[in-house]
Amino acid sequence: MTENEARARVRQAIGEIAPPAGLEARAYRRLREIEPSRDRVPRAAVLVAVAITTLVLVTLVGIRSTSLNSRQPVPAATPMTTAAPTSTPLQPQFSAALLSSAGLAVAANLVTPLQLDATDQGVTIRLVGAYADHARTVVLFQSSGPGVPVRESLEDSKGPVNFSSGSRTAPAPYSSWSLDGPPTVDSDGLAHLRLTVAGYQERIGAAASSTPPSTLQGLWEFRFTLGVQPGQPLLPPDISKQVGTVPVMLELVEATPAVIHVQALIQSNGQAILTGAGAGRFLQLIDSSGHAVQPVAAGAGVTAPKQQLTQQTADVVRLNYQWERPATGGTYEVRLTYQDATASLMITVPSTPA
Amino acid sequence: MELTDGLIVGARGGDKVAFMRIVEPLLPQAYRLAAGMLRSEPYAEDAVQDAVLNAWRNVHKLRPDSDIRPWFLTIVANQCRTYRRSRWWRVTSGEALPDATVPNPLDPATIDLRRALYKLPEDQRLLLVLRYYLDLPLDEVAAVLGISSKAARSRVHRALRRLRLAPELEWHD
Repeated sequence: MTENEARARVRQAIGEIAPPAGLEARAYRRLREIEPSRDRVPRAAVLVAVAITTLVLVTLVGIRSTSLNSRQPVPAATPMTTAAPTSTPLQPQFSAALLSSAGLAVAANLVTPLQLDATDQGVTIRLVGAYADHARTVVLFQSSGPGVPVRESLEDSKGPVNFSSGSRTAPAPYSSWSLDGPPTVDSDGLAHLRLTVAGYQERIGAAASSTPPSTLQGLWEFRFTLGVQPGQPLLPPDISKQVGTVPVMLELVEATPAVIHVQALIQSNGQAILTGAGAGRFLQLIDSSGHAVQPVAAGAGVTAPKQQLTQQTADVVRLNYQWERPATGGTYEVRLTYQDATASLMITVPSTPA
Repeated sequence: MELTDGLIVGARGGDKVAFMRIVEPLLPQAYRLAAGMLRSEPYAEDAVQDAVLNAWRNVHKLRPDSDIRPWFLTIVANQCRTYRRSRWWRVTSGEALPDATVPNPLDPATIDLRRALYKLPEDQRLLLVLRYYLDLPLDEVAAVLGISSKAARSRVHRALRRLRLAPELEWHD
């Protein structure tokens, strides 16, 4: 194959995406709105503005914060090791900041403490804790250097645990990684897990620098067992709702110790809904004061297998949303919105057990 | 070149008009980069707008002889990384939504390639998007990733091999 042929195949796979009209004008308008001063802002004021913007962005979307440490030189590689788990009782041993950043503040007592070290490329990563429930799996890391583990993958006894995943900001030297689903529980009532980390990356600041973050490639491996907390249904399964012309099935509405979890099936117009301007408002959790709670996970995927993928089947989309569970419980509205149509259900979330 | 140097000097001095004249010609490519990396056009515009802000805040690092395109596209790529690593960004792996702009979205080979492309490690996907979607020369691809041109060529080849596209490539630069 020639390079031109490879180019054509890659472009075909991505598709031809045309920039929208008015992109430049909107970018300039936003620049003027957010940076109104014509004169160059003194550096100290820029740092304060960046810090405030960082705080807002962390609140809204959980972007990693900057590490101020300079890059460490890469020492010679050392063999990878995996220690056996220590048999420690289930007691809260983690800082409130770490648990909060990982979305585990209300489920602190259910986080399994671990002390598993793996070293490669001169960097030691410690798996300090893990948690799993019916909706998510979370692992907590501590690392010896200024960066964060990246390229994580998890396997259970059935193979790869294949859910959408992501990381959250955690105070250095900690970080967390989570999957939007549970591992398989074996006959002994535990999930038997192998966690692999394939990279170690410089922390990325919210005000992105003009140099790419460095990533150390390596292999850090951890094996451990983990209990999986059950979910508590808040509504009967498979409730049908009509949002204007769009039929939606609320397949699952539950509370786990850590999250409120909604799984919904959009039965038509899925593509238009998820790529349109109102995509972020299609499924919301509204609190008693009328505010939309920020989700901690929002995933979507087609349901049809590849061989059955057509224009029609591609419009059937399953949503998987999670919101942090409040400690005190309360009444919430699960609201579905598409164009001018709304459908909703009220749920009562119990307080978390003391 | 002299016009650009003057614009850079102006931008470093706080002139937003000069700054926008520098980055405006790059916005279409920046958008295509972000859309190629994020697979979402609304998020792509958000990423480009955030990158413009970040570029403005870092314009003091730009020298009159700087190569602007790789500088700005690096900021865009970093912004995409930030988006993808945030909790808000979730798309189940595996079955991607067919995109209406893909010429033949139902072609199984294209679907397979698309899925494989988006399962690549981020840096490999970025390499391919820069090289084959934005048609950047290898030295600019290398500059965006902070590596040598030789390393960029090797990594592009490795990424294509991973996609099973290029067991033997004839390179055209």
